Amino acid sequence: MTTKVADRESALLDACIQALALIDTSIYQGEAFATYSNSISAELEKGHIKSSQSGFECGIGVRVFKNGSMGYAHASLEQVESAVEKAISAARAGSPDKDFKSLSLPESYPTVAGTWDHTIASLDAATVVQLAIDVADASRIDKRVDIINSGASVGLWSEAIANTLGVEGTDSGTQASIDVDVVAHERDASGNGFEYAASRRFDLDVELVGRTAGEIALSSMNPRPIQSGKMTVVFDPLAVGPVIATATAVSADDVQRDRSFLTGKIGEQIAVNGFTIVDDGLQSGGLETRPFDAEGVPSQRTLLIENGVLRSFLFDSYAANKEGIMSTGNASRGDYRQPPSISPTNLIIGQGGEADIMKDVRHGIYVRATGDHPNMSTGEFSGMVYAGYAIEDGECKHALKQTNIGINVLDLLKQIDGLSRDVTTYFGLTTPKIRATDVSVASSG
Amino acid sequence: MQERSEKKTDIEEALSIACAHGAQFSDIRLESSEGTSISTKDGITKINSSNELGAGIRAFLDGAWGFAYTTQVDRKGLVDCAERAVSLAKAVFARAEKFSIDVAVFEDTVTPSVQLLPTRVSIADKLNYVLNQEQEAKETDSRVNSTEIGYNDLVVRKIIANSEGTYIDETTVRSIARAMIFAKEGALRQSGYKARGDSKGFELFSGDADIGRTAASQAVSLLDAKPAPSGQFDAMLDPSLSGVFAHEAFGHAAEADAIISGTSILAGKLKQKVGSDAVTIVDDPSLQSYGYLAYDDEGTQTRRKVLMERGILQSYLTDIETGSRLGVGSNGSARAQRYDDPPIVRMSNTFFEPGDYTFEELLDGFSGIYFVGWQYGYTTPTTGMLTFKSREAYVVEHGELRDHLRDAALSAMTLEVLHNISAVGQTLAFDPGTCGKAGQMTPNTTGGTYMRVSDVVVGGI
Repeated sequence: MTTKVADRESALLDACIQALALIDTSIYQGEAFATYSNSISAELEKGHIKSSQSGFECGIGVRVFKNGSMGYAHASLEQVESAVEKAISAARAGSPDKDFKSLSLPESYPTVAGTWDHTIASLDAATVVQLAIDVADASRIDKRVDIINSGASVGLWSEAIANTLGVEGTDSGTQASIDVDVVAHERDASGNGFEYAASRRFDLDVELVGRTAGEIALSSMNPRPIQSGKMTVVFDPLAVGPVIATATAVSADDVQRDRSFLTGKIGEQIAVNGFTIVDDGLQSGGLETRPFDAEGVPSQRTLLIENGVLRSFLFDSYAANKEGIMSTGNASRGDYRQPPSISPTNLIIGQGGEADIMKDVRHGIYVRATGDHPNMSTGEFSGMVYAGYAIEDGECKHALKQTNIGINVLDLLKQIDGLSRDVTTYFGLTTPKIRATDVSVASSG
Repeated sequence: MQERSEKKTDIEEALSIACAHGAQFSDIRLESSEGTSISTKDGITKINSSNELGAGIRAFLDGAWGFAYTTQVDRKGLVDCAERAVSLAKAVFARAEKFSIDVAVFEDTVTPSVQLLPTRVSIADKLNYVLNQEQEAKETDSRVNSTEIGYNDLVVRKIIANSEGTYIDETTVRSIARAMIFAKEGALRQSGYKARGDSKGFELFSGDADIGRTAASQAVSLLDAKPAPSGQFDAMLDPSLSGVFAHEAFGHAAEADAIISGTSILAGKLKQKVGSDAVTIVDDPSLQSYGYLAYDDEGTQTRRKVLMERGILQSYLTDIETGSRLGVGSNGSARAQRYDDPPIVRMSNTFFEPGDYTFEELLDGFSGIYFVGWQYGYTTPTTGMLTFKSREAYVVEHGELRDHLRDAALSAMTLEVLHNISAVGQTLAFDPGTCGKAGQMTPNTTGGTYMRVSDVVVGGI
């Protein structure tokens, strides 16, 4: 990978400016977003390297508004003109929207830290392959553990944004990630373990990731159901993500359309006093950290729930303009192929004071992972414990088989009775372990 | 794309360079696409046009694959890409498990048989359909408080060629529309969903293609529904739930890459009885449906595959690599989301063969939970543990529908469900959907019938 970052950023910005020059600003507002990305990844199957991939792509997405009607088109950088033309004709075909006031205005951008690592930017395929091998080797902590697959990936990207109101910005970033999926066998018993990690810097703890997957597989053998009923549940940071964090980081657009279970609750005490969650686009080294969002609005730190009181939702400029307030900088997009939409940046849940969050749990469960998420219209959550354990007298006893949990998030937030002192960062979420009482648990048998 | 003959020369050049640099096999997918997506949220439209042009090239060396992609598709771009693919294969092959591959050769040109090619239909006509659906949804009931309709069409032309001589020029057309409708009464909010999709052009949306009203009716009806009970019950599944079971729980386990990596509950069970006599499950890419493809993304001709026949596991889904390693050859199950993804083993149109029972016969004497409308679900591959969430459900007592339920979750073990399917209905219905695997999304169809399954765990609040 080459490292002429500044050159690449200015080439992308030039492409955006070239696109905007084709837009008649007396009729339309326009925005162009161009990206370059380059990645290398490697994949192992059962301990053998299976494949390595690499590729780079450049592209531009153009958004044009006419009386609020949005047209979007994307294309390669060689086809800027055609993208602009298509976006304009789409904007002309659509229906006007009186709620659209304006694209974002130029502002100065904050400096962000820990988002670019020269080491990642200069890695070659051989190093990435070795990373995938190392994490697989590290997971084999015991003869009973077999590797299903492992992988490693590194990437860098640059992006530029400009709009017809004068917004101009460029940014670049790096990221590395590893994952490993293992199975432990002993006679008829088997158990699965998985772990992954991602970072903006080349500082992944390969040993820890591998070892954790191996340990989880071993402890997941011989799963058993438990007696159904209401009990205390401890949520691992991995489970806090879908069940609590993303459920409380709500898009203002959904609220304005009266689709959210948090509609009308700003200023209300919706969670226990000790619960605070923040959306922080500026977190040092955060996976979602950036100086500006996908519309060129400066990133910021937004209090969502402060000591249990609901303070804010997530806004892009459209939703903010509807209420006459400032955007929280939560417009995001996967790549240049998609127009922006509202999503969280880095979420941070405040730590608690408990050194051992399971110590006083006499009978309950520990939920490491669930694939489910709450119904965001009602707040109701019911889902399978994908990986979890029964807790007896403060300790994890055995893995859970076919166990479901169910609770409304609004009840869950008020039934939190403990937050751990230690916090973990899993992708875009930094959180303690969270303990809640009186959660419905249903298990087969 | 350039003229056919000129492009063919560039492609052959890239493939021969890959082999000259040491690849034992190389293939290329050169892809161009044009699509439109339209969404409306509460009457406000967003229109998105897409154009893609790119190529992905694989190089195979002694059991190792290198894969590279590019958006630069002139001769130089393709040759550079081929060289990168070979160097990636070389970077990994020392640690690879050695095996060789067998490749069947195909040459064909496939053009879609659609009536209204989406690229020839105006944005205004497409927009009109979307806005009409939204209007229909709003007019269904005064409690409908928010509406969202999405429309997508995509015309993709792929040239799939390899160093053994395969050369497929295949154009596919897909169209889909989805309605997500919200209803509110007091503090209660519910949503309903309906989609319609096929390998067809805009003709799909003529006539009775009503999705807005159906989704709105579901949302409104759920306002009175109760949360689901918890515990162990007998279940009845509607075609949407059983179709997803065929795909999600059984179909993924029948993918040969999972068999080889040891992550499937069906490994080592070929020709064994793993389900009840009532169960026959098929994957058929050649069926004209949303998951249709005449040739897969490795250029292998697709065909109907009976995966399970009356409870006996008959076949896995294979691509070139897994078919070679299992000694059965590819049965045309390789798919990639886009040129920048490598092909992997995937399903297409996966469905239960219908049985003998009418809906009334299935309900007769049944007591348990009747699940309606798939919402989402997932499985643990190595154990077969599955959780499905339905949009609605009913408590059934001695054949009578009682309480209407919302958001009911069902969990069970796949192999137990296959054995516990006691009766399969005669009405087969298909649903379009999107399947995710290894970060790649593909259009798929699931097909199911009404059926009875004993002993599942139901979770609710």
